[in-house]
Amino acid sequence: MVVLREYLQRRVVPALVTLFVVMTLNFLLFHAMPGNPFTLLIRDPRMPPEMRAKLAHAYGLDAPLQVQFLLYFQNAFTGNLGISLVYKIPVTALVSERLINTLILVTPATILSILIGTAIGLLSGWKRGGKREVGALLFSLVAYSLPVFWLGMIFIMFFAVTMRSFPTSGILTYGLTYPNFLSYLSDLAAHLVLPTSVLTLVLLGQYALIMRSSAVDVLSQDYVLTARAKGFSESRIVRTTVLRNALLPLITLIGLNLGLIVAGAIQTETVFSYPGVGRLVYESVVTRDYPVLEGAFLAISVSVIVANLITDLLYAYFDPRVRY
Amino acid sequence: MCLLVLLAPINVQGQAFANGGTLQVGIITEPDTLNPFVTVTIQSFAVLSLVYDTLGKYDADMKVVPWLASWDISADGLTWTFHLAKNAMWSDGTPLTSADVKFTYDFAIQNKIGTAAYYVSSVESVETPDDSTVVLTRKTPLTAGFEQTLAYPAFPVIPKHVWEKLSTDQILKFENVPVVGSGPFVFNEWKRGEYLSLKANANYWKGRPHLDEVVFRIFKSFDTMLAALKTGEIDVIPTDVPALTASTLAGDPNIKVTSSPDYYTRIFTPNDNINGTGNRALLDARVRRAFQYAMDRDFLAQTIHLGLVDPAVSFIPPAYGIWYNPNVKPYPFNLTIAAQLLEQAGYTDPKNTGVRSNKEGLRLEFNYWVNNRWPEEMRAASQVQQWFSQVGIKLNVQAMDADTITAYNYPVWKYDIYFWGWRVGPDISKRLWVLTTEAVTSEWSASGWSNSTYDDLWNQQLNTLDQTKRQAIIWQMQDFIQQESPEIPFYHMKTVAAYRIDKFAGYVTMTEGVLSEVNIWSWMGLHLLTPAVVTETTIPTATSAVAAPSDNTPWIVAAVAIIVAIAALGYATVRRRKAE
Repeated sequence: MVVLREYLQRRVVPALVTLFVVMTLNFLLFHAMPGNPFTLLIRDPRMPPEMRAKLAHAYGLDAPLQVQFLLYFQNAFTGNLGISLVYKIPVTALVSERLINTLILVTPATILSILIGTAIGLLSGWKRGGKREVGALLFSLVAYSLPVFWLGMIFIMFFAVTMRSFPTSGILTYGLTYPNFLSYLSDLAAHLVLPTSVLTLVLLGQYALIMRSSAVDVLSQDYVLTARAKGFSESRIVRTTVLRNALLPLITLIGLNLGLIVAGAIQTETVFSYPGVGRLVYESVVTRDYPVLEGAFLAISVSVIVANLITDLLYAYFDPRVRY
Repeated sequence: MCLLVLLAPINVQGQAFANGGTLQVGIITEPDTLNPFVTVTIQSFAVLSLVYDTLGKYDADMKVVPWLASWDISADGLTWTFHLAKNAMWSDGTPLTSADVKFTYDFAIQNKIGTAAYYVSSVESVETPDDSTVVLTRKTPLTAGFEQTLAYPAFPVIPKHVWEKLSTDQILKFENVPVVGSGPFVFNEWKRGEYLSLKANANYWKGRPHLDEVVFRIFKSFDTMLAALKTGEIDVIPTDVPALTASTLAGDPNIKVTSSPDYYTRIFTPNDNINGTGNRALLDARVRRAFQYAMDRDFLAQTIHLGLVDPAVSFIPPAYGIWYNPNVKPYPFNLTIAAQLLEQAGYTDPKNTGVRSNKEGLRLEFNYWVNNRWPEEMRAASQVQQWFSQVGIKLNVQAMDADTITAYNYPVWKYDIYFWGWRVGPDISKRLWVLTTEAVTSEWSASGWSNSTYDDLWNQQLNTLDQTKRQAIIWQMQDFIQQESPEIPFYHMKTVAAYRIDKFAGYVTMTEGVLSEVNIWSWMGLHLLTPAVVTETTIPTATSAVAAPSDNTPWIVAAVAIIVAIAALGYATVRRRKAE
C-alpha cells in the first residue's frame, strides 16, 4: 500500500499543477479574445452610451485584469464560479446541469463504441487476410471518417421524419407528465437513441482500427506461439492472451478520448439540439460569457485530468509490468 | 421559384373560439434575458411583449394604437393624458395603477439604461391625479417618434413593488425570473438551452388569449428545427427560415411559408472615418460609387437568397412605409462605368497588375470581413470579389465573428470593409441617426462617415411634426446618402416564417411576420383549429407565399441508399462467412 500511496502522490501532484496552469490559461485566453461581453449588447443604437461603463462596473469588468484574475482564483477555490453574463444565473448550476446531460449522452455511446469497436478490431485482426477483414476495415474507416453533422441529419430525416420512430431533437418531450419513473426513462431513452447511435458509429471506427493493428501485432508475438504450442484452443488464446495484451494501446486512446469527449460531442449536440456542455461552450464563446467559459473549461479540464489519472491506474491494473 | 400573393384569414372580431392548445414555437437564438433594460435580442422582445403590457400596441400598419391605456394629447402637444384600463392586474395579484406607469417613466429617466432611454429623454414630468390617470408633460412637442415609447416592447410598464427595491447595479444583473408581469401570458418556466414556457393569463383584463400555453423551443441547428416542424413537434418557425430550406417546405400541404417586410438591411460597410486606419482610398466617394456600379444586387438576391430578399437601392428598407423613398436613383450594374469612375479618381493600372493604384501608390486592395454567422454571405462575397477584380479592385475576403469585427471598429476604426446588418426596429429616427456625426463620436456608426449636411437634415426631420414635410426631408436624406454612398446596402431582408396550418389558425401577417414582438394580434387570436372555424372572412394582406417544386426526396433517397448499402455489405459478410 505504501507503494500505491507513493504512486498516487507522483500522479496527483502533477495533476494539481496542471489544473492550476490550465485555469490560468483559460482566464488569459478568454480575456485575450477581441471584444468583450458587452460589445454586441451595446451595438444596438438605441442603447444609451452610459450602458457600457455601467455594465462593466456591475460585473467587475472595469477592474484591472490582475485583480479580476485573483478574484477568479479566490472564487474558484470557494466553489463560486460567478453568474452568467447572458443568463444572469449561477454558472455552477448552469454548467453542472449541462455536464450531466452530456454524460448521459456520452457514457453509453463511449461504452458501446468501445465494446463494438474492440470486437470488430479483434475479429478482423484475428481472421487476417480474409474478405471479412476487408469488410470490417472498410466499415471502420467509413465510420471513422463520417461527418457527424451529415450522419445526424440523415438519421433525423430517415428515422424521425420519414419513419416517425424517434423524436428529432431535445432530451425530453415537452409538456409530458410522467406517471412513474419507468415512463420517464423510456421518454429519455427515445430521445437518446438517435444521438447515441450517431456518436457510437463515429467513435467506434478508431477503436476498431487501433484494436486491429494491436491484435495483429500481439498475434505475431512469441508468447502466442508458445500458447499455441501448448495446445490451447484458438478462442482461449484470443480471449486470454491476445485480448489482454492488445487492449493496452486502446486504454491509452480511451483515456485520451474520455476527457475530450465531454467537450467533443458538440457536433452531435448541435444536430440533435441536445442541451449539453459542448454547445454551451460554443455559445458562450460567441457571446464572450467569461464566467461560463471559465466554469465550463474548468469542468472539462478536471474531467481530462481525472480521466488521465484513471487511465494510469487502469494501465497498471491491466499490465502488471507497470509498477506503482 | 415563384411568388404568389395569397389571402391571409383574420378572424371576425368577437367570434368565440374554444380555449386550449400549446403552441410550440421553434427558435434558434435563445432570449438573452427577460430584464427589459438589458436585453437586445428580438426573441427576448417577443417574450416581453407577451408577459408585459405596453400603453399602446402597433396595428397592422405599424401605427401606435391604444392598448393598456387610451390617451388625449393637448393642442400644444406638450401634455399627454393617459386613461388606464381599470381592471389591469399584475400576475402576483397586485392591481396595476398609474403609480406603476409613473414609476416606469421615472425609472427610465433616472437610470438612463436600456434601449428605451433615448425615447423618454424628452419627458419633463409624470403626474398621477388618480389611480387610473397619468399626465405626462414633455419638454418640447418636437422630437418625432415619441409615440414609439408607448408600444415599444422593451419599455413595458413595470411593477413598482418589484423594481423599486433595486439599485442600478442590481438592476443590470437582475434576472427577472419569474417575471411579475401584466400581459396576456404569464411566465411559467425557462429551462436555459431547452425551452421557455408561458401560460395564458386567466385574469387578463382584456380577456384571456385562446391558447393555453406558448412554448419557445430552442434549437441548435436550423435543419433539425425544420425536421421538427415537418413532424409536428413544433408548430411554427416565426423568423429567419433560410431561403434554401423555405423551398423544401413548399411541397408540404400542412405547412405554409410566408415572407413579410422587415426593418433589416444587410450592408457593405467601408471605413469612411477620416481618423480611421483603414485603406484611405475609401474616403473618396467616387471609389465608393464605383463599388455601387460593380455589384449586381439583383443577381445576388436571386442566387444567394432565391429571391426572398429585396435588392436594396435606398438604405431605408420598404418596411418603413411612407418614410421609404422608392424614387432613389439606382446604380445599374455596369463595370465600364465603375472602371471610368476609378480612372477619374486617379486609380490606374498601367502595368496590368490587376490592382489599380494612384500616383501616391495607394492600392485598391481591401480586407473584406463577413460576419461568420451568415455562411450564405460568404458566397455572395466571393461573387463580389470576382466582379471587383474585373475593374482592378482586390478584395481579401475573410469570415469573422461579430465581436471581433466590433472590437476592430471601436474605438480604433482599424478595418477596410465589413459586411454588417442593421435591424433597428420600427422607429425611423434611430435608423437615420446611425449615419450622423453624433453616432460616430458615441461609437454606433458602422462606417464612421461624418457629414454636416446630413446632420442638419437629421435634426430638421427630428423637429418637424408635419408628416408630409418630414417625409420630404427623409426622402432627401436617402437621395443624399445614395449620392455619397457611405454605406452600401445590399438587400433588405424579409421575415420568412413557416408554420403548420393543420392544428392552429388565426395567424395575422404584418411587418416582421406572423409572430413577433410587434404583432400582438396573432398571439391573441391564435386558436385550435376546430370545425367551427369555417365562417372566417378573408381580407387581403401583403403576404407572399413561396412555392417551389422540390421537397425532401433527395434526403430520403440518400438515406435509403445508405441503408441498402449497409444491408448489402452485411449480407455479403454473412454469405462469405457461410462459404468459408
